[in-house]
Amino acid sequence: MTTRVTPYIAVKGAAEAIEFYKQAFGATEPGARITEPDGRIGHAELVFGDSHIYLADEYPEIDALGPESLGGAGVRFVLNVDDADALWEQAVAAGATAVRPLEDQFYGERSGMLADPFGHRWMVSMTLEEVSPEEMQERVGDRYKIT
Amino acid sequence: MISADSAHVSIDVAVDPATAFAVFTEEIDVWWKRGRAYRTSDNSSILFEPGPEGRLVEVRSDKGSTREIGAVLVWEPAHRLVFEWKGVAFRGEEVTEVDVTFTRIEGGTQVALRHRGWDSLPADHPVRHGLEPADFIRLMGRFWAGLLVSAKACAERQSNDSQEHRQ
Repeated sequence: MTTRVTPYIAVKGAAEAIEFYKQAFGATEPGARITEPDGRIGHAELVFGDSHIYLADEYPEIDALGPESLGGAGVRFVLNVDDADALWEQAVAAGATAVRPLEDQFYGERSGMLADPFGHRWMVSMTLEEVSPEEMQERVGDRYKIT
Repeated sequence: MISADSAHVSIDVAVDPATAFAVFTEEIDVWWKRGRAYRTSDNSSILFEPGPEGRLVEVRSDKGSTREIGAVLVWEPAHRLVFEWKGVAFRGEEVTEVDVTFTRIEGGTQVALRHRGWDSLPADHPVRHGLEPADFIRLMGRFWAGLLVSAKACAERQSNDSQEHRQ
């Protein structure tokens, strides 16, 4: 039996958001896009590497609202990539804004947080090194107890 | 009230518009799904009689019968295809229209399909299966989305095969 989790996100301005995700994050849209008679996108599918996301416009009538209408999103996305700096630059050039800068983290990742123009947040991250729990504890010193 | 006249579905295909049009029309029996939602019988074929005077038909090999789904209205290879659509439950002069455009985009073709004319059928028409007009249009959107995904796979598979042959 196969199980897979696919986020289904609501975005105010889904058509623009799809273009943004393509430009900013290199997403592709291999599936069919269904546009409703009122112009709203009822269904679209984006692929990021080997991950899939479903996306639609807001449908208040079924409580499908995006972050702008909700005042924030309850879910963030993590983009694990080989070159975080390149993707970061590409995303910022496309219109993403930095929430937390891209920095080397003590746990061996280089990561930062972006907000997209539609209110969703994306952590861009790449692995720099595998850090053992002991090494991690040494790096953070007395600030946190890791193990 | 929002119109529920047409279902609109689009898909990007990694072949040129001429190939996309050719697969859509010549290979329709390959990519048209099987099963009750798509054909009246497992022994039927869906075929375009090609050209501007052509038509879309379902041929029952077991009965030797041919059902016309609709006449071709516009036949512009690599650009546009419009054909009538008469469902099995349609009566008399009832007809809808399927308008498909093939637009060159970077890396291939965007195929956009609009199935319109549903407002001309009464709200209690049997083809709607009791659904509200907006829900019925959503159902038609999903119907065509499934078919376009299948058509895309067919076109890209053929394109890959022919590239391998050339190598």
